[in-house]
Amino acid sequence: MKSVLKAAQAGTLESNDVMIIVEPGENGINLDLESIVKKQYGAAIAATIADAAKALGVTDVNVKAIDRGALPYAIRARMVTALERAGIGPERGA
Amino acid sequence: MGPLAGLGGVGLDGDLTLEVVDLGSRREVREVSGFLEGFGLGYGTDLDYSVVLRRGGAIVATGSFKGEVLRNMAVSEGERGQGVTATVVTALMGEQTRRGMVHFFVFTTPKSAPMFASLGFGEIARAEPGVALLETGLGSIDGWCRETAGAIRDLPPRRAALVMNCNPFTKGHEALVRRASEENPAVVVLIVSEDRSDIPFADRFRLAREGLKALPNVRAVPSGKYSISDATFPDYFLKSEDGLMAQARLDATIFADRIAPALDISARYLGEEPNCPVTRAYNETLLDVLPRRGVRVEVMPRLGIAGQAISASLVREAWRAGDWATVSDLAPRPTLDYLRAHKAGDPKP
Repeated sequence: MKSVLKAAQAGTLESNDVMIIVEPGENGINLDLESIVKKQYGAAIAATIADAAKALGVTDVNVKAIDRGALPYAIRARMVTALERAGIGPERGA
Repeated sequence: MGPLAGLGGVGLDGDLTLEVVDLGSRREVREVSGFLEGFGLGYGTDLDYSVVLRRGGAIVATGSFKGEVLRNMAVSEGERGQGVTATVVTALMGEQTRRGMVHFFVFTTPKSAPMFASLGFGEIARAEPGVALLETGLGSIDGWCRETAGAIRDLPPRRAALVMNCNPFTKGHEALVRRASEENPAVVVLIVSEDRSDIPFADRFRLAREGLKALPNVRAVPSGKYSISDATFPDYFLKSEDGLMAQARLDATIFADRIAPALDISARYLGEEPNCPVTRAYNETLLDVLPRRGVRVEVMPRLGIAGQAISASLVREAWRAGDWATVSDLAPRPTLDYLRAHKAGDPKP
């Protein structure tokens, strides 16, 4: 179990990108998602973000995602970068 | 101005360059001021960080922040579009996060509000004509309202509210809250959270709680970021005195439209303001805005002791002078004890 050490951000507000902001949290992965395609893809985006956190062993984090139409791999990459900037290293052997 | 380092991921097309403004350079500040003047905007003197976007040599966009609040945002007519604004806002929010912030506000015009909404900002309120406040990141007015409503859920509805700095808590504050508590089922006292006073928030809050504990239907809670805060009162913006009035209207509108319904508040109590012109203008704005939006306003004259209206500033003066007889006339016991145990700082301008 790893928690986020400090606030961090990755991504941009440009079209086809997503900005992800993370801060230390206490009760699981709490996501506040803002997306131009929330109705159609909100659940899928949330799952992508949660999976990226879990893959790094992060169980407790507050996440704000401002999505402007990013593709799943971009969302995943931005989430990983945000967590790395927050002090979470890649999982050993993963 | 130097090119922006460490701006991972911001792809600028063509000949656009993003630069950080050296706020200590009169020449650079003058250039940005000149650009903002074209939009009827001023350039605040106490900014934390400021960027410009240039095409060729000319500024085509700028934006700044002070604490969590983005401001002084402008984009040239020819560059209008989400792309340029997104670039500037991304750079500013990136720097804010590097400084530990995760909740962001933008103080702008109603005309520009949809542009920020398209970048994921949620609108808190607008006060026509002239100002709108939006927010994004971790934290929101709905979250704050839910949290505060939870902290007062045992108080009966049709509550009265007061927003007070309590720097420090005086017998005048006590008298004002007591009257509200007699005239209403319950009272919520919002203690200004922003730490810009001689006495830190934690101490102002504790002294108010102690000073009010004899009143069972009263609860003191932190005012958070949505009343008399750096976000609702950023003391800048338009160059004229309209700026102050615009901020006061915004603060009043947020209270009437967002806070009062969420916390079941039907009245706001104010202390009459004989001296400070800013507070007087704020009171007048509340008297104008709130009743039209369904919140009753009650103004109570200041409690006088020995022919003098009690005010927190009088208490601070006596504190600095070591005049404990006056302090104990004007302030309740917990405040007196606290001030005796703490050295008075230099007066804030």
